[in-house]
Parts: sequence; structure tokens; C-alpha cells
Amino acid sequence: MTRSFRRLATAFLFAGSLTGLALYGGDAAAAREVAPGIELRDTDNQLVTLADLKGKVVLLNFWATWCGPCMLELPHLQKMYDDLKDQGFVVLSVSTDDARDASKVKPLVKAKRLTFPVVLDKDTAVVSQYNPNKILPYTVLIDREGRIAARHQGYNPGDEVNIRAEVEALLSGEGELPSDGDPDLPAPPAGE
Amino acid sequence: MPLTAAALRRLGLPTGAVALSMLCLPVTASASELIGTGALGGATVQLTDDFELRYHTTDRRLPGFEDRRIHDYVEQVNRINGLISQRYDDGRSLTIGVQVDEVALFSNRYILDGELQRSVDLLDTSVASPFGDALVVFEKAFLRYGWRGGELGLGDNYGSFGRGIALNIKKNTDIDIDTSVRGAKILVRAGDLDFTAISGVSNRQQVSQDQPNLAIFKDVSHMVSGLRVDRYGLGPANLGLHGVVYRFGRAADADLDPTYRYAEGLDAVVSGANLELLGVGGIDWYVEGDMFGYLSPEMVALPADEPDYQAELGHAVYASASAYPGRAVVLVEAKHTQDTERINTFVSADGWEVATVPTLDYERVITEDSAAAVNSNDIYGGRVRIDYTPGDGGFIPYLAFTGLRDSDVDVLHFNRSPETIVHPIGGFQLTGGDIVSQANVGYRMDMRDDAAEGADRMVHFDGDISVPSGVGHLELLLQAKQFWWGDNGIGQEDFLEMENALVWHPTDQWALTLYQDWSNNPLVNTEGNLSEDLYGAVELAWEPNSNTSLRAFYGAYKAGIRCSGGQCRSLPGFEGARLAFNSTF
Repeated sequence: MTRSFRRLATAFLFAGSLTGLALYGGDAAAAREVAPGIELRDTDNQLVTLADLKGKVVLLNFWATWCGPCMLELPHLQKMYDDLKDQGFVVLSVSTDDARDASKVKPLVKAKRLTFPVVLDKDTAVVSQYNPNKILPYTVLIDREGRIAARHQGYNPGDEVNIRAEVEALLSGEGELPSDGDPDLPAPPAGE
Repeated sequence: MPLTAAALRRLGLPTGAVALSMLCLPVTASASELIGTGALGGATVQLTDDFELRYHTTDRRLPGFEDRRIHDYVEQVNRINGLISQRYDDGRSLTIGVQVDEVALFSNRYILDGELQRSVDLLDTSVASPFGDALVVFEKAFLRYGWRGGELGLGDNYGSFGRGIALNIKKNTDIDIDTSVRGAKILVRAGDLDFTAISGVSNRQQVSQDQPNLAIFKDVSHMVSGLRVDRYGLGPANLGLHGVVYRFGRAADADLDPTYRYAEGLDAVVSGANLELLGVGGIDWYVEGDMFGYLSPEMVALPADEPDYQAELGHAVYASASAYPGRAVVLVEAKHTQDTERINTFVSADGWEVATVPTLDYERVITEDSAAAVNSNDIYGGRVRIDYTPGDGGFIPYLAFTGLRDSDVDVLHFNRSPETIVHPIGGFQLTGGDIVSQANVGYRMDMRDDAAEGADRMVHFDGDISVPSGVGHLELLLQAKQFWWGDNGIGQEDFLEMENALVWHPTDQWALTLYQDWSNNPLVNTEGNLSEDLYGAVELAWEPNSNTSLRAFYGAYKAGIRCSGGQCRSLPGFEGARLAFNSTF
């Protein structure tokens, strides 16, 4: 057996270890992370903060005007917002377009008739905390306590069904989400 | 047996790789909450891991060793992001983040009879690693403390003023660029006033997650300091003022402590102002002007000891107006820039930029030719885009037209005389039913003033459609451009490039993708795996839960220029196999 093969086998062993631990870790993530603070201005320069949304279920969605899948996902988020906003649900949409594209954001919001808040993260300060690889689109569900309940990378048609089920579970106060898949998981700490 | 280096050697395992693995393994624990009563009591820890193993293959053979694939090698990259988050009842927040990258090469040397026949080097001579053909880099670290009325950032920060013309240093992972300003940044909100100050030295990401890591060289940092004041709520108006100073490190300064940049003379000063008017006459207006002062001769490509050098100037003006009449949305943008790209003289060779002017072009189809206009030092023009929403937003067609006048013929430009660029584009987005689709088609022409030079022309199309299949759904993504050169003096051949994919999603968790690229562009220096110009690949993706994805790729894709966020970069192609794993814990 060559030394190169041993090295390669070690690398695969490493990958396998990480995969196994990740699968374990993914299911065992009972303690929800605190959602990092957000203070950004929207397309009308109004200040929007995550702290002000405490008590609501927040769907944080990162997107960009040049991102094709994002364009397909946004109308579904609008529909979800229209249907559920009266139950304490809000979409906080974060445009990750950089500064030079900032003039494109509001026209796109108008063309797509989006009515939820759209804030601009021009210098990537927020996306670098929530989504360090800047995968787009990227959705984070935040529960009423301000903790991260779920994340979704990318968008494929039909994803909105699963996300909506998770949002409805959070709105109804269920401790676990349909995607958690483990009925024995304890609910997140209450009252924090 | 104790896990010592000697023991590992007896087991035949490479100590470097195992040491790195051990370094990474402890951090794969589940998300956890910090216990205690201090400032971080109850804070939570989040970890994201991105692991990739790439087996690079090539048809190259070493003369005399045609039966062995000794040019093939294996590359392994791992990126860990850690984040500690805390939020207090009074609205304050504290976030601490780190990013650690690790890369290693395997089978990257071929030694026969004690003689090195072939070597693929991870590092150049400016970077030393105790792990040999592996490198661990503490890429980013930051602390952000926010309160109602401001935020303080220490460590690695990003900065962007106005439309990014004076300062635009940010994460641009779309093209594998992540340069930050390592120092301090503070934002203070006082009523309708925002004060932002940033100062530090640049910190370019050393390890690439998506590209081959070869001959990694030492980062020469540059000093950046800026101040911006925004005044909101002046009726419908918002006003901004900013200033930025730069001192760029020279290659000879690579070993000096980066803080010495503060003690050296400035290379450039940029100051600017912007005015925004919302809803005035039913239109949202924005206008920004920036002045560039180049204080050292190297900024304008003159020798450092150029006698009697007088500071040279540059300027940029950008304006936009958007209106929303009825079911239509109209966006008009215009710009004029003169000698603004010189601000990137010291950094563009490293693949990133400190500031960028809006390109006003469709970046998805930028080529080697049009990249010159993106980075032009003398250009003006505008763009108009009209979107029309006939129904509830499910179907949105649009038309756009860009017109530019580029008088710069230096360096990157293929043309010898100034040129006028026209670029009409049309397209649509369709959503709402079982079928979702979008498409864009355009034609670009670069007409040179000297008729003998002719014109560069390009027709392009990109689009995708997703339809239900018997099981799950199918997605087809197409992108193609045909380019015809004018007389560019060096006689490149016309070319066709395509990047296509067919994706089958049988369930939410699985996706099977077939990729097909085509390129006969002589400026693309890769060869296809199916024929000289044809590339094919297959990828299987599995997402067992919303926090984890695993991807296995086999095949090849082409090299080519890719632009994002106003920056363009030639990305290399790839042939071989790849295993990628991403998870958030």
C-alpha cells in the first residue's frame, strides 16, 4: 500500500468522521442558538432591528438581485407572509447586494410586489454572521424567543411547503419542527 | 498505544493530516449553551464546517512515464466558522466569531530513485508551514457589540460607503474572495445622524474553498481608514459624506508588521458625498460624486522615485432614478468615471478590489473583453430597465438597455481606439404554479471608433425551467454565449461557451445533476474531458436535514471569467472527483 493511498484513506476517514458527527449533531441540536443581533436600514432608510421583532416568528431570508433561485423563492415568501402575518409571523428579507447594486433593490421589491421589510446588508456584516459562506438564498427561522429554530440552504421548487410547515409549528408553539424528525427531542428552553 | 507522532508513523498514517484532523474533530460537538452568570452566560455556540476533498486528474503525462498518472493529486480543504452569540434583555447583543481554514495536498510529489520528477506546491517560498504540505490559517476573528444606538466591531470588519465607489471591502464568496479590514469599526446613531468609522489593515483570505490552492503566497496588507456621516430625515432627503485614506503595502514590505502602514505616507485619498431623495415627483433619486487623489507616483504606474511628481486626480459620478408608474417599474442609472480604477493598482493582481464603481452591465455574461470596460479608467454611460407586472407578480417580463462610451485603451483593453458599447437585454420571470421559469437574452456590441477595428459582438442566453416529473421535479438550466471578435490585433478566434445542467430532485433530500460545459474560447486554458471543447460531470447531493449537505461530484467543468459584486476573476477549471460536506452544528 503506497503512502499516498494511506494519506488519501486518512482524508476519507476524516470526511467520514465529520459526516457521522454532523448527522448526529444535526439531530441533537436541541438547544437553539441565539440569533445574532441585526440593525439594518430598509429600502426607505428606516432602521429595522431584530430586537424589535422579539415575540414574533421571524423568517430571515438572504438573497440578492442577481440570484436566480432567490427570484423564484421570493413570491412564495410573500404568499406565506400574507397568510400568516396576523398570527405573529414576519419575513425579514436581507438583500446581500453590495453597495453598487443598492439602487436595484427597491425597484425589484416593487416589481415583485413584496410588502415585507427588505433591509440592505451592503457591507456583508450580517450575512457573515448568519451565513459565512454567503450561500444564496439562505433562510433562517427564528422562534418567538429570538432563537434559531431551522436553516435552509438554496431553494428548489417545493421547499416552501416544508418551510411553511415549520413556520406554522413555531407559530402554534410546538417545541419541535416537522423537519426535526425525532419526537423524543425536548422542547427548547421556555421563557428565555 | 499513545497517539504520538511516532505511533502514527508506525501505523503508516501521515502525522500532518491526522494532526489536522484531530484539530478539527473536537469542534464537531452539537450546538451548546454556555453556562454561567457572566456576560456570556446563556450565550450559544454555533459551528459551521465545510469540508471538501478533491481528486485532481489530468491527461498530462510525464515523458517516459506515460503509463502512470503522476500529475494527479489530491487536495483537502476544511473551513470551520465558529460563532458565540449573546443577546441581552435591553436589546444589547454580543457576537464573537472565528474562521479557521485548513488545506492539505496529497500525492503531490513524484520522486523516483531519489530524484524529484514532478511537484505540485501548496505554498510558495514566502509562506512556511510546520505541517509540510498542509496549512492551517486563522483567517478571521471578530467581536461585535451592539446596543440601541450603535455597534462596535473589533477584529475583522467589512466596510462599504455610499455606492461603494470610495470603499467597498466585503465578503464576496461568490468568486471566492473574502478580504476584511482587521482593526476596529464603530457605528454610532444619534437621532437622525449615523457616524461610521473604520480603520485597520486588509486581511485577504489565504485558503480558497472552491478553487485549487496552489503556491499560496504571503498576504501583503494595506491600511484603510475611513469616516462616513449619514443624515437621514431631512424631509424626503438623506445626505451622506465620506472620506477614505489608503496606504498600500509593497511586496518588499511583506515581512514588516502591518501596523507600520500607519506610519508611512498616504497613497490615496478619496472623498465623496451623496444625496438621496425618496418619492420626490414620484421618483426615488440618488446621486453620488467622489474625488480621488493619488499621492504617490506608483498609483499611476510611475516609478516610486519619480521626480517632481504632483498628485493626480480622478473622479466618479453615479446617479440613479426609479419610478413606479402603474404596473411598471423603471430604473435609470448613469455614471461617469475618470481614473478611479487606479485605486486598485496594488490589489487587483491579488484578485480583489478596495472600491468599485457600479458596472451597469449584465455581469452574468461578462467576458475577457467586457471585463476591460468594467475596470475602465475612462468611461461614461447609462442603463434603463423597465419591468412590467401584468398580474399578481407571478409573471414579470422586462427590457433593459445599456449604453457605454469607453475611451480607455490601456492595459486590459483589446481595442486600440475608443469604443461605444450597446447592450439590449430582455427576459422574464415566471412563478406561482407547478412550472417556474426565468430567462434572459441579449446582444452586446462594442463598436470601435476606428472602423478598421470593427466591432466585438456577442449574443447570449440564460434561463432555467423547473417542471414536475413523475417523481419529484426536473430542472433545466441553460447558459450560452456566442462571441465574435473585431480586429483585436492578436487574432483570437470567435468562440461559443455554454454552461448547462439538468437536475432531478426525486425527493427533498436528494438531487442528481448532470453538467455539460462547452468552450472553444482560446482564452480558456482548460480542455474538456469528453472532447477538447466538451466537458461533462455528474453530481449527487444529499441533504439529510436542513443543517447538513453532502455532495459527490465526478467529471470536469471549464475555466472562465466570472464577475460578482463589481469584481471579476478568472476562475480555473476542474477535472476529477470531489466530495463536499457542509454542516451547521
